[in-house]
Formats: sequence, C-alpha cells, structure tokens
Amino acid sequence: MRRERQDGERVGVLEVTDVGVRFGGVIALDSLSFSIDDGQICALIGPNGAGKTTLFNVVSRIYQPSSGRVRFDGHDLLAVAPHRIAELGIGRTFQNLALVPGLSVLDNVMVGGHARSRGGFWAAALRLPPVPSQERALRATAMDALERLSLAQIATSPCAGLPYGTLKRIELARALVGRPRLLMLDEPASGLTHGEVDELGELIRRLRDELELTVLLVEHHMSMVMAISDRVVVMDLGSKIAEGTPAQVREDPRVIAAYLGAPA
Amino acid sequence: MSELTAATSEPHPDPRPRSRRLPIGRIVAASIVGVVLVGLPLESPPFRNEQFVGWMAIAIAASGLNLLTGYNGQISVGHGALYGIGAYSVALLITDVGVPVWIAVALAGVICFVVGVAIGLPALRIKGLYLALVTLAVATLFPLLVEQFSSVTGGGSGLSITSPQETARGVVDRPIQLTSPFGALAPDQWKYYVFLALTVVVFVVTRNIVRSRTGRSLVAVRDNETAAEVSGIHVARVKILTFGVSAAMAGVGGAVFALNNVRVNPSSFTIAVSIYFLIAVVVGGAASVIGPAIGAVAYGVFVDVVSPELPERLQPATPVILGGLLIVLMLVAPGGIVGWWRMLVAKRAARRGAGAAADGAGPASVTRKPSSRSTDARSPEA
Repeated sequence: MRRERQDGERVGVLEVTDVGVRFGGVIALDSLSFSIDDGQICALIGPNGAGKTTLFNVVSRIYQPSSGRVRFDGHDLLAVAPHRIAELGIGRTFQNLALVPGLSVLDNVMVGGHARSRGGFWAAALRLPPVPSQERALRATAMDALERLSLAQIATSPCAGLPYGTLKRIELARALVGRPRLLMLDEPASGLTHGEVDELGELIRRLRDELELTVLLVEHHMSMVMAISDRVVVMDLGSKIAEGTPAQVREDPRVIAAYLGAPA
Repeated sequence: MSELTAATSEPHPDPRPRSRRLPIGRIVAASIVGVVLVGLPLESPPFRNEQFVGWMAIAIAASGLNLLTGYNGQISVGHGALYGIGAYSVALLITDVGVPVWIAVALAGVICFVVGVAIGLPALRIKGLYLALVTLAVATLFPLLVEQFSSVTGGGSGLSITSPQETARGVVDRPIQLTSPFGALAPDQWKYYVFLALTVVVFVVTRNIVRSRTGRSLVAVRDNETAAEVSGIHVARVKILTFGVSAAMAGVGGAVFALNNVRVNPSSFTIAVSIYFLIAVVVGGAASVIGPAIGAVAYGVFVDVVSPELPERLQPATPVILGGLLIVLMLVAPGGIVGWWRMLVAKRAARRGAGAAADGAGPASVTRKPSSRSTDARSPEA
C-alpha cells in the first residue's frame, strides 16, 4: 500500500515522501509518505500526538524536516522560503487560530491576499498608481470571501471579542483570499455545534468545487471526515498506518486498533 | 477578476457605511484645527513660533517611533540617537559640504534610513526588553561619540550651521537663515509654515503606509509572526525596512530640530530625548497615526508653556510633576489621548442603542453583539 504510487503514472498535487521530523529525542514524524491528487479532499486523521499538525507545519515551512521530500505542484517545497509558500498557492488555517487581533475582520482577511498583491513602503507612502486600485481590488475580493462565509456584516469590527466559531471562519476567509490551490484546514470543526459541523462539511465541499481547490483536512469529527473526504490517511505516532477511501479505512483493523486500543 | 469575485453574483454591502457618509463632525473639527494651525504663528511672539517648530520636530520623530513600536511592535529607546544623527547630518552637509537646505534634509533621512537598517538587522534576533536595551546602548553612546570625534562634530561646544553669505565685508560664513521669499512673513513665521507643511507631509505619508498592504503587514508581524509568514509576508524584511523608515523619520525630525536652532550640540541628543519620543507616542496613543502629534503637542505645552509658569520653588520639580501626570494619564487612559477618545466614541455609539448597530459596522461591535451570533448560526447556504 505504501509504495503503490511508485508506478509514476499520476503525480499528486502534494507529494510527501519519507518525511521525518525530530524534536530532540522525540520522533514527531517517522518517514511519512502520501500524496493528494488534484481536486481531492484528503483527511488526515489519527489520535492526538499522531503528528498531523506537525505535517501541516512542515508543508507551510514552519518546521524543517530532518529527512524526506515535499513537492507541491512540481516545486520542491523544502527549497522555498516560508513566506513564498502562499504565493505558490498553499493556504491554511490553524488549530489554535492565528489571527491578527489588532486589525479589523476585513483587514485580517486582506492580509491573506498579501502574496497576491504588490507594493512596499515607497509605493504605499506615495500612493503610487498601482496601489489604490490594487487595494480596491483586494478589498472587493476580501469582501466576497467574507460574504461567502456569511461574515460581511462584521467586516469592520475588530477581531478581538468575536466568538470562536466566527474567528475560525475569518481564518478560512483569509486563506481563501490568497487564492490557494491547496487549502489546509487544521481542525476546522473544533468548537462548533453539531449543526454547524454539518454546514461546515457542506461548505468545504462547495468551496472545493467552486474554487477548484485541493483540500487537506485534519479533523476529529469522524462523521464529517467520512462524509466529505475522497481519501483518508490515518496516522499514529508519527507514521501512516492506513490509507484509502473512507469505507476502506473504517474497516481497517489497524485503524480500529489505534482508535480503540489493540485487543488483548 | 478572481475566482472569488466571479463566483459571487450579488453586490456586497458597503464595508464602510459610516465613513462614506458625509462626516460633518470631522469636517468641522478638521477646519478648526486647520484655522488654529495656520493662524497661530500670526498671533504668537517669535520665540513661541520657534518652540512650535520644536514640537513639530518631536512630532515627526515620534511618528517614526510609533511606526516601529506602535505598529510593528519593536521597541526602540534609541530614537534620540537617530534624531541626533539627522541633526548632525544636516548641520555638516550644509556647513562643510555646502548642500542646499532641503537636499540636506532629504539626505539626513537617507543616512538615518541606512543606520536604522543596520540597527534593524541585529533586532531580528533580539526582541522586547532585550531590543530596548540594545537601542538604549545606542542612545547612550551617541553623545559620547559626538564628543569623541570633536574635529568633525565640534565636540561638546557644538556646531553652528553656517553658509557663505554676502555681507558688507565680503563673503563670510554666517548662520543660515530661512527667510520668506514673499517678504510679508517674519523669519519665525516663515519657518513655522515651511516646517508645518513638512510635518503634514510626513503624517500623510505615515497614514498612507498604515492604511495599506504594508501597514497591515506591519501589524500582522507585530501580532502574529506565524500568521504573517503563512500569508506570504517576509517577516524579516518587514522588520528591517520598518526600522529603516522609522529611523529616517527620526532623522528628518532631527533635521528640523537642527534647522530650527541653527546649531547642534550633543547635550540636545541625550537618552532623555529618546524617552520624550516614547512619552509623545504613549501619551498621544500608540498605533494611531495622529497620536504622536497630539502627544508631542501635549509634551510641548507642558514643557514650554505650563512649566515656565510654575512658581519658582516648583521649577526643579518639573520632571517629578511630569512623571506624576504620566502615571495619572496611564491610569485614566491606558491607550493615550487617542485611545481615550476612541473609548468615548465607542461608549456613545453603544449607548445609542443596539438597533443602529444592526448594520454590523462601528465600534459598538467590540462587545459581542447579537448580530455576530446570528451570523454564526445562519447557514452559509442562505
């Protein structure tokens, strides 16, 4: 199962090959390999500490792996500077929220379009020609993203003090404004009510279809994972223990063992 | 133009309904401020006008410090040194090199930009209090360096800013004078207007930076470096450039100070000056564009207007009184004067009722209001 993609006939959008991450003596990822095809929704599941978020941080270049390769859309990601990841078309949200409390909701979302616009200090200071029109265009794109996520009414509010679920959606809007090809969502459903989780699953599918995204999802809400994923990669203790369609994974004895404990 | 735009059919509501309405209150307030700023030098004695220019110099430098500390979150206690470098640059460029005044001011900004970038490089690795300490060292060192290299700087006795001028006894080096080409204005009044114009330009430029992609990246780097980086912001570059731009503004402030006094002296650029800038930023309101100007005026009013009126016996206690006032201000208005004003406005808006807040904009939504909840519960399909 592990090596089935070596036949080389299809190359995934994101290809993770033998990635290992060590923190001192702790092995967070142990030669993890998997790949995602264009347009797929792929879920990464596993018990806490399995290394799911670590992998996200490797792909967004926050962690430098000690071994392995990560390729995205033909680029060797490990050779790309962290701030250029967004430009390549990778957007993400964070498990513990990484918003900018000092900015309004709209400005937070506009930060997501940073890689899609130009202009530094000088252009901004003198409002040189491309700046005002770019700013208007980015504002419009950000408002569209907010509207898509039913956040338009709070566009000018400060982020501080908004409910958790709203903040998670603002992060999603920020990621969308960067016009990603690959959208990585780290536990988007945490803290949501049951009804909201269903809506979210629906929303993720719709975003994938309308914006032609590939989605990599870390999530503990199994009902949502099983309902929307094309593929599921199951991790435990830094390694992949199973991979396949939701139906295949659900039946896999190793997965059941990892989740429920091995039978005595 | 993007997939996002293309996929949405209905026009979105105006994101800023409040500011698009004709802001009559703002126009009236701006007019009053404008009339006062323009009329002030006509009614004030020359020494007062020169003090006003001194406040402008502080306002410009404090605005630079605010960009760095308020918006970008990098603390500098060394802006007094950059102010000094700007002042000495102007003095030496005019006196020794013979550069025209306005080109000298611009060059002072460029020189300080380079120095700021040089300080910004190590600042990538040191943060918070440690950065404050390093910049403190820069501030302490600057007057000592000036005295050390006295052959260039004139040492402890300072430098007069001179240029060769036509006199009855031939061409002689004399202190430069900024005189009005229009005749009607006295030199102090002309100086006031020229530097007021420069100050306005600096603040407009600052406002443009703050309300742009660059301004957002400054705040994003301050609040969450990871989020900034993942969004495509080159964190190190932003930090270094902000240090440079901030230093350039401090340098221009120093240039104004030097041209106002027509001489420079190391005792004008001690560590205390760095502290005054911080005071101006904090009193006015950090991370607001106009805050440093308000803070500079508040500081100027205290030092130049109130303090000389104090009874003789209290004069030596001026710093203590200033310190006491600062403590009281920070207790009453931790966000400075601008922060206090915003709080008042927000309270008033909140009191006007939740009905008006239904448009979702406005400061009332600082507190959780029902509309954001209902946004949450509503289906994205709706």
